[in-house]
Amino acid sequence: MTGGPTGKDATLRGMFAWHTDLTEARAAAADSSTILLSFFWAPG
Amino acid sequence: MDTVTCPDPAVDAALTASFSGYRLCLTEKNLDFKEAAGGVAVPWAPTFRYTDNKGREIRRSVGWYSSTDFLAELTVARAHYELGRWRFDNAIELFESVAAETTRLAPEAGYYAGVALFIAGKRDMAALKTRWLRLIAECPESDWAHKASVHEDWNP
Repeated sequence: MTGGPTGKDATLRGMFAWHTDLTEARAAAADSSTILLSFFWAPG
Repeated sequence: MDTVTCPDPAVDAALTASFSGYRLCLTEKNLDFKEAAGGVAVPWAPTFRYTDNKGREIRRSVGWYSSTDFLAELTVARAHYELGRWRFDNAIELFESVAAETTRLAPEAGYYAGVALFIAGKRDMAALKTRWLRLIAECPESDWAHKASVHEDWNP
């Protein structure tokens, strides 16, 4: 499952797909050229 | 970050090129939180934690960035990644590219360019001191210049 663009503001939110599953995010960073970026956010 | 910084096409491209992103909310229960945070408390958002493919933390930063500063932040993270893999030329080039710009990351990048030169040169103290003197001259009021001023206490 990935987060990121949904709904009418998809364009404004960009195309980078933030994962919401750590295992998937880590798998996507398994090669030696990709860095895993964990982004802790809060609403408001 | 969602409304201004991340939607910026340049930020989007930089993220897509070199990063896998895992996004989690501080106010929601998340079973992976402890692991994602590296066992360290995350008292404030936004917090950014960068790790390599072995789970080792490369960098952690806190607070909002403008698009320009966040691009520099991502480049500094990549530079630390290269440094950790002993790809010194790449690391130095990335640090210097940020140091040459006018973002608020520039002094820190200059500081770590010196560190990378030191490690690349097998404890090359002269290279470190030269780079830090340049940092002090170019960004005298920065925290990083203050940190670099420790060289004045070193014996020749």
